[in-house]
Amino acid sequence: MKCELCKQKEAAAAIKQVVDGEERELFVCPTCAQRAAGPMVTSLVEMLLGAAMDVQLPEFDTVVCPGCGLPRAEFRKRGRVGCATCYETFAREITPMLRDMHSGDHHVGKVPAREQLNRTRAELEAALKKSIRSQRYEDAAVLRDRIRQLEAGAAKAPPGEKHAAS
Amino acid sequence: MLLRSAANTRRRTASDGGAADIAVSCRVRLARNLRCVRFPDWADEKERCRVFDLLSPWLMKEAGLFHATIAAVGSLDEITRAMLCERHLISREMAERGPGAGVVVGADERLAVMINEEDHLRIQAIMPGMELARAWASANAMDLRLEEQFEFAFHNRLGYLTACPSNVGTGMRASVMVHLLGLRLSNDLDAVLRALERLRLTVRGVNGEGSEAAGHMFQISNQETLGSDETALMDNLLDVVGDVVHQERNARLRLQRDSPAVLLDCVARALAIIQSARIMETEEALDYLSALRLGVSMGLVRRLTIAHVDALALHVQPGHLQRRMGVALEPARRDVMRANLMREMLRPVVLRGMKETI
Ligand SMILES: [Zn+2]
Ligand SMILES: [Zn+2]
Repeated sequence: MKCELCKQKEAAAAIKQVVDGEERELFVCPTCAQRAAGPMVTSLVEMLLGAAMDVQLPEFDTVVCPGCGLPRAEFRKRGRVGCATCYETFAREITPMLRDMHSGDHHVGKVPAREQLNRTRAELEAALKKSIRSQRYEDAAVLRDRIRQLEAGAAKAPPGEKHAAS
Repeated sequence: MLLRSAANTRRRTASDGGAADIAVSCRVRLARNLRCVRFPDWADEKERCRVFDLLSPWLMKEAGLFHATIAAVGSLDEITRAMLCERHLISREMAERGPGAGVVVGADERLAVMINEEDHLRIQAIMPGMELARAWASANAMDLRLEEQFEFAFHNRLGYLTACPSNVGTGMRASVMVHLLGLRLSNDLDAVLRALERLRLTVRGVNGEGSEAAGHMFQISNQETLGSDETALMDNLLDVVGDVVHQERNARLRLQRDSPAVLLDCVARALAIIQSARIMETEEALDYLSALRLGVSMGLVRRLTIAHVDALALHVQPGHLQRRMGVALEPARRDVMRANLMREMLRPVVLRGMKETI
């Protein structure tokens, strides 16, 4: 990944910066990271000893996936995630990777039956809330029945046809 | 015992598809992961074993695999591991991996489920020729049975979540294996392979890399998994592979019409070397078998079928060869055994129109 500030060198550190009044995380190269950190306070002794020429970057990047403990640096090295949660944790890195790898940005195709059921239920429940809010109690009763049917059906037999084409 | 009969090979590689002399076999592979469990590469051995112990008994008993066999990679000897690789039932990466990795295979080897490869589950269905729809039906049915039992990592927008972002979405890799010696002989292979890359398909040599892959067998597969559904991905692949098969067919016919000597020399030379060589390396063997395969397809060879060639191409590989001999052999010793096996098996084969000598 390229540095987000100079867009030339490889990004090696993450810094916090206020952009448009909002604190945002940027991935930058060591040079830009130093520049962003402000003027270096170096003592005369350090300069004379040449130590200032060889400044160690502070450990900026401490992000670790809460799902599996994979550190971001490790993810960058492997290019493979450690668990499902990594897709949220490292979304900033993964989104451009996906853009390079695939022409689409969202899944089209088969959905697990469980998931399909959850989606339908969520839709029905949203409709139910709306009908209650607008005091359409007859609609609400119908929706409640459909949710009940859905739950009963799911417990009895898993749906057979699950290959949604879109 | 696992994979003992040569009859299995014949069943699996039997060329009963229409274009089977060019499109050898096809495969659908689905990558699936369990929710809330670390993916194999990042998990430790204990976690991998727990996943294996969770999945394997169910796959053996409840998954509907006919006469299922299980191979736990960690407890296999090196020869058996090599054999499984040669049969594409486990990956090379997986063969290196110890406890926790394994594969459950149906008796006909057409349906297999790998556990703890790059992902927790890799469902793999193989069919002859270009019968991708049948391979999909078989893999999908297994997927449906699995998802009733286990909850998969699935994201509303990204679909099935996989260890490598390149598989995310459908998690499906559909592929067709094609034999492209005609294009190689007419020097059109590189151009065809390059065109495929531009169509966002992946091509790799089944044995080795690039256009010099041993045996001239190539696997063509969909590169992308996010943004198109399974049917569209397979249709696109079949469209393109159909075109490649057509080009290969034309190349063969052109050779036969315009340069029959080139074609016949390729086949006759291979047969002559096989029937007299005393030392033969695997890649060399695969190249000569590839030539014979073309010879059978063009009607230049007698007393040999494509199914025989394909079976032999499996049995000359190191794992199969050593299992056949019953002992582990040094590479140099294997080369002698391989030459012996090839001479033995192909002794009766003759060129059409030539005087038969037995
Ligand atoms: Zn920079
Ligand atoms: Zn994670």
